[in-house]
Amino acid sequence: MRYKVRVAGQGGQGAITLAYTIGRASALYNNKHVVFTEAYGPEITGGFARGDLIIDDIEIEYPMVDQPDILVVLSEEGWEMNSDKLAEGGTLIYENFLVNPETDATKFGIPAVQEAENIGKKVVANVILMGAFQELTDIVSKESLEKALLEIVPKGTEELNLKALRRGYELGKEIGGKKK
Amino acid sequence: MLEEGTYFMKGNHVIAEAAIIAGCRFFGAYPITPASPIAERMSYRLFEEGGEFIQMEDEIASMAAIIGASCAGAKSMTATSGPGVSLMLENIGLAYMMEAPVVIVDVMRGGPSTGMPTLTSQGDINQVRWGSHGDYDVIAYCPSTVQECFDLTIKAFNAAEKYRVPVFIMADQILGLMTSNVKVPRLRDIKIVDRETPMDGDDTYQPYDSSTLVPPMAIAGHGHHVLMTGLTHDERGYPATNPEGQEKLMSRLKRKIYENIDDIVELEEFMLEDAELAIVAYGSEARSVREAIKQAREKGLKVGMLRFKTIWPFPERQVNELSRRVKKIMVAEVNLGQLVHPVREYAVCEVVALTHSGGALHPPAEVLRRIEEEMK
Repeated sequence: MRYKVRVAGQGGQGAITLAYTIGRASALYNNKHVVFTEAYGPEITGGFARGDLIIDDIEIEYPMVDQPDILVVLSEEGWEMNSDKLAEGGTLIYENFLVNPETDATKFGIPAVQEAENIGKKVVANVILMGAFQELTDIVSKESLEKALLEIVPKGTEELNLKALRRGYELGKEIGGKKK
Repeated sequence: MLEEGTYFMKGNHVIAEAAIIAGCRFFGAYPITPASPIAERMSYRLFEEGGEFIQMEDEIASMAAIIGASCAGAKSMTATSGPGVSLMLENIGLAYMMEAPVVIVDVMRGGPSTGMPTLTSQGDINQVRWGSHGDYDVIAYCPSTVQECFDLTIKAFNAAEKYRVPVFIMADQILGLMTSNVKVPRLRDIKIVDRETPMDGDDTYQPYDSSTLVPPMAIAGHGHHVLMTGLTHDERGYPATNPEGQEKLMSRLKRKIYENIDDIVELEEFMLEDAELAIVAYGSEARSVREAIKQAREKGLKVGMLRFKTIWPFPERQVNELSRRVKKIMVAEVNLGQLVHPVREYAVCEVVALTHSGGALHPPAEVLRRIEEEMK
């Protein structure tokens, strides 16, 4: 099964890290073939930032994501740039304080920023979305995702990040209901 | 050094790690998008491995630095993009003339000039081959996957050492910045070639001994008579700027590549067995082509691909043979038609071009549309 995922936001929000971590977990711990590509505007902080993933059981040829099956957006610009890209029958996951998408597609608004503030650090909003993504899509296993996340976060922040990820699972369950 | 295992790594970083495994211990470069991650990685990794990293003042100096380091015995590399190669060209000719083994990574981006720094292209194919003055040859590897960033970087160093010639790794923005699975074999299973050096105390040693195509290379400062120059030179390295000296030197330099062309050239055949249309492609673009061919085959179209893993020296014989068993060849590349020219030169069948101004790969659907059109 092939999954095409795009994560879009502004530089500094962790959109690329979000996508990278899912890719890393899938490649190293779920034995998938993964292609991860990234794009950003000329200025890193504040400009658009995008991480694209293709995850498959077989080798991946064409490496670009033209129409994602799953679109994760962290900013209004991220939504505007990609609102016409979502594949038919695709799923939108978005930060519901920063983005207000009008679409008929299946969509899940996650209060990631507010929940991150509740945990204590706004910077982990992307990790909350990562957890929600896992719960809502089940493309990558929780065990693999946690392993990959712990490998890339700065020392001393492991607990905070795991807490955020697990809060993301809960939110995904509350908002999305059942796993596919 | 990276241990055996599977990694999830960026193409540029894989090139850096493979270079270290291949024995690279000197890296001199000037940062440029989209090649900078190679320098960034080398800056601390070479330090850990006991090598030297220098951020040079520009690309002219970068190329000079790696030639010097190579003459001093270190396997050396630089990394840049098209605009940087433009500045390196004079010294690339110098490396060729001095027969200094060096590896140059060109992570291609949109040109000409400053062009599109953050977007892809395959626009440097001709520049690396023809850009420096006079007649010269290079070896150019062209990876298509992150795995090949590893495999072909090892081969690039081996070829540079074996043939004492500048060797290019032609990546592109998409591949260089793409993160993917890469398998690193056991270190002892990786074949590493080191340059041949003269015996200690060999008083008869001549740095450009013409009795062999690739003379052993003494390490400057280690006792042998070492004289290396960009001037046309004799066996001793002394200037021999006359037609006879030129003919003697140039014919050996040419022969060392062309008499070994079958050892150097690497091609992959994909679904060519019964193909009527053959697509020639390389690098990231070959991935679009492969996907399009799979779709075309489902529609019953007899199409295949000859993928160049080495671009230069040009596989003259293989292209000629291919052109005798297919009806048509289409060259797909992310430029306005570069490799299509030598393909036309050596093919006996019709050769058409699928070109792209740059900034993106052809989507597979577009390649497929063109396949259908050409096979009507």
